Amino acid sequence: MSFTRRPRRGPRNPSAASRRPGRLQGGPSRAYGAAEADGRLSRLSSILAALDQGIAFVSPEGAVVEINDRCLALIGGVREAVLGQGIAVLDLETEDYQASVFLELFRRGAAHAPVSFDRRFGDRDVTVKLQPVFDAGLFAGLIVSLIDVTPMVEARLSVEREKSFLEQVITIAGAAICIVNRDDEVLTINDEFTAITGYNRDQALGRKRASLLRESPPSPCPAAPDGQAVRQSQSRIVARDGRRLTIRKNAAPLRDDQGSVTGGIESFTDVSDLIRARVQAEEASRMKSAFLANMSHEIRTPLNAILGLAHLLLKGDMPESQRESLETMRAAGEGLLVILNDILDFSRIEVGRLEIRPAPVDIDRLVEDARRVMAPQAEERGLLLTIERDPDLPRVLVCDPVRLKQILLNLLSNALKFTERGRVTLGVARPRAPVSGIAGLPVRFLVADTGPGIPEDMRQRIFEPFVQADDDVAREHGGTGLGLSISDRLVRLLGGTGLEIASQPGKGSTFFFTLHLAEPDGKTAAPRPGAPLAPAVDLGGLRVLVAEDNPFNRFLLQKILEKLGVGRQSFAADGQKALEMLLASKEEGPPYDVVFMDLRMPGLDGIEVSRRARQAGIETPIVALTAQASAEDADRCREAGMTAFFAKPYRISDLEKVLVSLVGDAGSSRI
Amino acid sequence: MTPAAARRQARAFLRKRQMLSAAEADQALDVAATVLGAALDHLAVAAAADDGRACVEAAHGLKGNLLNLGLPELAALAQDILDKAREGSYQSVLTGREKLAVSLATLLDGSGN
Repeated sequence: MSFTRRPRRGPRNPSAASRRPGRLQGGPSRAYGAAEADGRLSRLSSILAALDQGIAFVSPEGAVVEINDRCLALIGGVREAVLGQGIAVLDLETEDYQASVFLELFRRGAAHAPVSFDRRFGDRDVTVKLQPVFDAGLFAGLIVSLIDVTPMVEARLSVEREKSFLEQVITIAGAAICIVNRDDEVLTINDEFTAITGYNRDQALGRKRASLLRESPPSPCPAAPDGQAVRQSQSRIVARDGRRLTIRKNAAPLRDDQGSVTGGIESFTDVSDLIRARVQAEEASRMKSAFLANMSHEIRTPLNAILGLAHLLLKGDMPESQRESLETMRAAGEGLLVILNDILDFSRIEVGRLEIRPAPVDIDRLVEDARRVMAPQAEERGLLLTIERDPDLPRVLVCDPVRLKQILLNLLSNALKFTERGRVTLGVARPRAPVSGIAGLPVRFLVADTGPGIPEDMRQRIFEPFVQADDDVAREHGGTGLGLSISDRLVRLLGGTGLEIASQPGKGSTFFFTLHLAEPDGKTAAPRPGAPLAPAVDLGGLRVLVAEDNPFNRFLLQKILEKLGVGRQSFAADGQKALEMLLASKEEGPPYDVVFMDLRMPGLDGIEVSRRARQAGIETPIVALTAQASAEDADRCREAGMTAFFAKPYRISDLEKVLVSLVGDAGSSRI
Repeated sequence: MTPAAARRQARAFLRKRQMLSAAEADQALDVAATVLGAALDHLAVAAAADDGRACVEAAHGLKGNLLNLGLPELAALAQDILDKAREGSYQSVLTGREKLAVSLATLLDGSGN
């Protein structure tokens, strides 16, 4: 490739031509010979040919007299067709710049300065430069240079496209966006920012972010780098109109391609309404739970009285038809009590008010207690109820005995309810594949039955509140559908992963859960074998009055109540004193939750004290204490307004049952 | 029932059924000894005075205490005394009282700890 010249016909003005700077025809010094000049010409021609820049020379008359290959390539011409042609052959005419016009201006001496403009040749972007050459003030020709700027234009367009894309993203983003420089001055905001804060671009750009938004608590400049890629926070800001808004935001520094922080970006959404709605929902939930708890308590108190009296009446003689009616009444009442307890438990769990109280538990005793409670139901339905226990398990482990027993009783009750024939098994064992990495000894509790099984599609749903296997189940067996839901949540509160089920339709179901239970440490005394389990309801808040003239019976009751955890006990050694204490508590408070009243006391006996207490409007449950449970005594107790009847000898388990059934809710509600 | 057996049975009942600790059971037996002793004294005085009402009260108290001590056989004896008192058979009351006192001798004198 070479920079060739079209043969000239000779200069019009040889002397002038010899003085042209950069002339290709030889140097100005006589020291150079013709050969040297030719050599130089050849080198310069090679340099021009090798340039990545298109170069052409246009004579003063407007003919293209020199052109290099690059220039030809850019304009898409061939040398022979271009040389000697007018400047138009270079195709340098644009709407704004016409080379021929500039050529004419240079020729006339009307313009002397070089001119640059952009022109597109095919897919190439080219910057065209027209450099006039003057020789002694006369226009001697025009150097046309074409610089391919396509890569630069591409890069610029790419940046512009990216910028445009980002602007679109920022504009349509569902969050307010604010970009700041390293001095925390606002550089960019989007429409959502204006919508939330009320500040438009004119009002926001250039201002300090902190003073603009008056954030509380103040956040560091998003440009401040720290360990986190994105900082998430919630804060309050003040909008332009003075409204205080709660925002949830993400903030992060912006970095250049070298990794240096150039500024920061934060995006935020207005969560004021969300927060307000959540607070309102929580308040509504609290009110609902409080309502449920109060209503449950208010319903349970008279219900307990009804049940107590039904129990009392059933001890007496009566026609069989009346007995059946009374039994039905009692059974319905007890069913209602179960439902109320379920609702109360569920509402407590929902609002996080159900406290777990771990204590050393005699597991053997607990499962045996559960079996004993359910044995009558199993016997009634002709089912075998058995315990299967892994002998390698420690007997005493730390857990909340009340809640663990509640779960087991619920599962057993369900199993017995739905199993027509066969057996129900309560099992305690080590799981086959224990989960590693969790402290405590893994213990699997299970209740297996030979009932109808549960269809696949129901196995998850039955853990949802108010769901039962099907409508027929609800009709046949009643209940709220809360039992499994409560048990599942209790398992989680005890540290388990929830209730699980394995079932084969027609063959039975197994409900199981795994707890990781610690063994009692040296500081925690394990319960002695035979020691009482914690009562099913916390009775610590109870205030109990014992009216008993016999010092030994009084002593015994005191010890039993202490062991049951009854918090406040008062004693009256005769009926008169008991009545005075009851009346005083009514007037001055706090009222007693339950009264144990010996029937035979010197002066006013228990019957008379109870009668007068009721006449005075005292509604506290009164439990009669007597050495003999005769029908006559029962009648007298009922007529005097007593709530229940308790025959000697006192047994701690019986007393616990009476307390729980009468005032369990009152006790636990004071926790 | 021998006096020693009565005390053992009562102590076992308090320990197992009422879940009292050993110290609490002994303390309960001490209280019981005082209360039972006083009731037997009242019974003797009431029977000697042919005071049926006082006899019934005392026998009733004894019965309740004995039930709470896990001694149903002796409680049944107290019920007999109570019945006799209602009938006005005070000699029988005294006889029954003596049987009861003998059966409770170990418990009443606090020995056997």
